[in-house]
Amino acid sequence: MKTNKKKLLTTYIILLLILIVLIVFAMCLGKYDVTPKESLSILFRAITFREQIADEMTANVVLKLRLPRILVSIFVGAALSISGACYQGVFKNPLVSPDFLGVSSGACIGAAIAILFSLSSAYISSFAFIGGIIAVGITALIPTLIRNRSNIILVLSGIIVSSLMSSILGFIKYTADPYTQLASITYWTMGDFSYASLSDIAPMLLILIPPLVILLLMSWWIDVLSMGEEEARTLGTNIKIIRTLVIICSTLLTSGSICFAGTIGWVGLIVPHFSRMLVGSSNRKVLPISCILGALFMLIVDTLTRIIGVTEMPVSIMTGIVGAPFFIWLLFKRRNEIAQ
Amino acid sequence: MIYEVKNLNFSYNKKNSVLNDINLQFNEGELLCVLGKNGSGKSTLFKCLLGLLKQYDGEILLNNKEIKRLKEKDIAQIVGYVPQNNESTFDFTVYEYVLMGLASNVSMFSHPSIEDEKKVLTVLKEMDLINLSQRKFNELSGGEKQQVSIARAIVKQPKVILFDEPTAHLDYSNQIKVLKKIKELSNKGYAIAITTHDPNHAILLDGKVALFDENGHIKQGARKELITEDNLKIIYGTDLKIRYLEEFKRDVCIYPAL
Amino acid sequence: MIKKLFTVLITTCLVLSLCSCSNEKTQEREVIKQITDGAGRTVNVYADADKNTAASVYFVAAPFFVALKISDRVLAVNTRNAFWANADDGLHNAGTVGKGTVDLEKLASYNPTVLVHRSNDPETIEAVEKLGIDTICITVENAQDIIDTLNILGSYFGVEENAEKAINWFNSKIDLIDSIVETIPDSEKKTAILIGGDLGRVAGKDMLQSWMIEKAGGIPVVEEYKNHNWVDIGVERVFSYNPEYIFSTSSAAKSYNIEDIYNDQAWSAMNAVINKNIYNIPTTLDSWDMPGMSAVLGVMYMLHTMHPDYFSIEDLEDEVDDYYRFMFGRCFDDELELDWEHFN
Repeated sequence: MKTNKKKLLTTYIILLLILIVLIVFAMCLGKYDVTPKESLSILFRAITFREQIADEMTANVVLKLRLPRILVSIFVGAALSISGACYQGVFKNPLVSPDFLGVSSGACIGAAIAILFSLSSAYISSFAFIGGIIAVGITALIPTLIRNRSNIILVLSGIIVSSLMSSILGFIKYTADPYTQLASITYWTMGDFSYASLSDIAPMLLILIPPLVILLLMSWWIDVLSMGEEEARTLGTNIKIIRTLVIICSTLLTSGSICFAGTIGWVGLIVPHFSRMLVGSSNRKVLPISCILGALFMLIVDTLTRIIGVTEMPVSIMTGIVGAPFFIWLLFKRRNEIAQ
Repeated sequence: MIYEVKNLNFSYNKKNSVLNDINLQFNEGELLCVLGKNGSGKSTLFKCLLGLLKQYDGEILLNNKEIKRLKEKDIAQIVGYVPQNNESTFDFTVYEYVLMGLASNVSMFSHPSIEDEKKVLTVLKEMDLINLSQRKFNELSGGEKQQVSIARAIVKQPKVILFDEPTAHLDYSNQIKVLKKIKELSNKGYAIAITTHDPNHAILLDGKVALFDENGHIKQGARKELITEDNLKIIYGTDLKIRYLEEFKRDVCIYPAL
Repeated sequence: MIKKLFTVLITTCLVLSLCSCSNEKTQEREVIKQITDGAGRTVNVYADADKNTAASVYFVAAPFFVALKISDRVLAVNTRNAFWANADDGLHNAGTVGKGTVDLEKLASYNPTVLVHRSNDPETIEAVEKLGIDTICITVENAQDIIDTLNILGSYFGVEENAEKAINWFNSKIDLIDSIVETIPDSEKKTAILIGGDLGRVAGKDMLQSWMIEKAGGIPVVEEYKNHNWVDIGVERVFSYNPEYIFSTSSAAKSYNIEDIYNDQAWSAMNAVINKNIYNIPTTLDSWDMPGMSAVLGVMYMLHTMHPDYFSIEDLEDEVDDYYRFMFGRCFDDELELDWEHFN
C-alpha cells in the first residue's frame, strides 16, 4: 500500500512539474518574438512588483496576452476534464461527456438568450448555468421516462438533447440582431482563448474553485455512485443528495468554462479515460490526475493553435483534430475491456 | 429481534401483488433460507428488507425501528448485502471495491480514513484474498467475485448479512465454498438471510426456512418441518424426493428421473 | 499533499494575475483633440498624428486607406480582392494579421498605432486595447457614413486635407448623378432589387445597396429590413415584388449565377428574366457595391444599366477611369476590358 501511495505522489509531482515547465515554455512561444530570457524576466519583474525594463509592447504581449491565455486555458482544461470524469461516474457510463449530455449546448443557449435580451455578463453566466442544468436534466429524464436506464439510451438521449439544443440555438441566432448580437453568440459557441484577459481570472476562479473543491472532496463517493443506484444505497449512500450535488458541481464547472472560453469539445471525454489508464479507476486518483492532465492537454493544444498557421485557428477545431484520433487510440488500447 | 416483518404486502402495479401478507422474524446467530422458484418474489422481499422499496403496506422493523424512517446510512451500518450480479462499469481493484463497503462510516465530504483502509486489509487477510487485492474486480472469476463481495459486506461488521442468490452462476466447488463461508459467518453470530432455489442448500445450511409459494405467501419454520415432499411439490410444481442418506447422516433432495 | 500542491498552484496563479494588473504605464503622447468613431467611442488624436500606423482585418477599411493616401502607413490589411493588394504599393507591402478575426500576437508583432475594425466586435476591441494599441471602429452603411469615416480616419492619421479631397470627389460625383437622375421622369424609373449570396436573400430597405438603387434612378421595392443587413425574404417574396431589374451583389460569396436564373423554369415569368435584365455588379477590379468610395461606381453602373439613354457607356467608362485615377493615380483599362465587353 505504502509503495503505491509513494508512486502516486511521484506521478502527481512529475505531472505538476511538466505542467510548470510547459507553462514557462508557452510563455516563450508565439508569433511575437520574445526570447525566453526576456519573457521570464518580464514575468519575474511582474511578480516581484519591479519596474519592467523590456519595451512596453513586449511586456504587454507576455503579461496581457500570453499569461491570461495560459491561465484560462489550464483552468478550463482542468474544469472540463473533472466535470467529464464526474459525469462518467454519476451516469455509470464512460462514454458521456459534457458535450454528449447536451450541457455545453444548453449553456450556449442560456448565454444566447441573455445576449438576446442584452443582459449583463453576470446574467449571461447564470443563464448559461441554468441552460446547462436544464439540458442535463432533460437528458437524464428521458431514460427514466421510458424506463430503460441502459448506457445506450443515455447516450441516445444525450444526442437527442444536443440536436434539439442546436436547433434552438439556430432559432435564437436567426432572431438575433445580425449586426450586434449574432457575433457575440457565435463567439460563445466557438471555443477560443484568444480574448482571455487577466480581469477574467479572479471571477473565473471564484466560479470554478468551489465546485472543483467539492468534487475533489466527494471524489470517493463518485466511485460508490458508479456502482449503480441500488447498490450505492445498500452501501449506505444518500444517493439523492450526493448525486444532485455532483451533477450541479459538474454542470457549474462546464458552464463556467463555457462562460470564459466558449464550447470546447473532446477534453471532457478523453482526459478522464487517459487518467484511468494512468492511475486506475478510483476517482480519488482520477479526479486530481484529470485536473492536471486536462490543464496540460488544453495548454498544449492552445499553444499549438497560437503558433501554427498564418492566422489563428479556433481551439475547438484543434481539440477535435487531436482528440478524435486520440480517442480511437484509447479505445484500441482498451478494446478487451470494452468487449466485455 | 433484528428483523421483524409484519403483514407485509407489496405490489409493483395494482393488479398483481408480489408479496402477500408476509410475516417473518430472525435474530442474531440465526440463518434464514428463503426458498422459492425463480420470480417468486425473493428479490423483492430483499429489496424491501434493504429499504430500497418503500411503497409497501405493513411493517418492517430493523432493530425495532420502522425501516421506512431510517436513512440509507443507518440501514447500511446494520445490514450487509451481497448482491446477485456483481459487475462494475469502471475497473476498480479488489481493494477499492471492498473499501466501498465502508461507505456507511464515511461522511459526505470525506474519504475513507487510514483506519478504514486497515480494516479492509484485515478482512482481505482473514478471507485469504489479500493476494487479489490489486487485481481488477471485473477480471476475477465468478467464485472470486463472490468471495470479494462477501468481504465487502462484512468489512463494516454489520449485524445482518443478506445474500441474494449467492450460489447462482457458480460451479460446484465454489458453491460449496460460499455455503461454508455463510455457515461460518452464521456461527460467528451474524444474522444471515439468503435466497436460493436449491432445497439442498437449505438442507446443508440447516437453519430456518421460509418458503415462497406462487401467490406471494410465505411459510416460515424449522427446516425439518417445512422441507417436505408435499411442500416442494407446491413450490416448484414438480415431484422432488427427499431421502435420508445414512452415510452422511443427512437428507438430500433429488429428482428421481427425467 | 495533493490538496497542498493545488493550493500552491492556485495561489501562484492568483498572485500572477493580481500583480500583472499593476503594470499600467504608457508613454504619454500629446493629445490634441478627441473624435468620435463609428461605434460612438471616443478616440484620442495625437499631435504627431502623421506618424500613426494602421492594421486591419476588416476588408472595408482598405479602400479608405487608399483614398486617404495613407496606404504606406498600413502595416497589415485584409482585402477581399487581390486587385487591391497589387494595385497599391502600400497595401502590396503590408502583411496580414487575420481575415475577419484578429490574431492578437501577430498584431502585437506588427505593433501598429491603431487597429481599424468593424464596430460589432467588442471582444476584439477590448483585447487589442489591452495591448496598448488604439482602436477605431468604422460603420459604413450609407453615404453619410462614407463621408464620416473619411473624416474620422483623416483626423486620426493627420491627413485632413486628403480626407477633404476625397469627400469633395465623392460629393461631386453624387451631385453629378443627382443632376442626371433629376432629368429622368418618374414614369421612367425602374423597380429593382439587389440580391445577395442566396436567391431569396436581398438587400434590406436600410442597406447601402438599396440606397444605391434609389440614387441610380431606380425604385428599391424591398420593404423588409434587418438592421443594415441582408434579409432572407425567400424566393416567393422576390417573385411577388417582380422587379424590372435584378442586380446581384459582388460583395458576398454567391450560391448561384445569372445563367442559372435565366435557365430556371420557376423564374421564367419574371419581368427581369423575360427582358434579360439581371446583372452582376462588376467586381473585376474591386467590388462596386461594397460600402465605400467604390459605391459611386456601383450607382453609376446601375444608372447606365437602367437608363442608358441618360448615362451612356462612354460616360460610365470616363467615370470609372476618373475613380481609379483618383484612387491609384492610373486607370486599369486592360483589366476592365472584359467588363466593357459584357456591358456592350
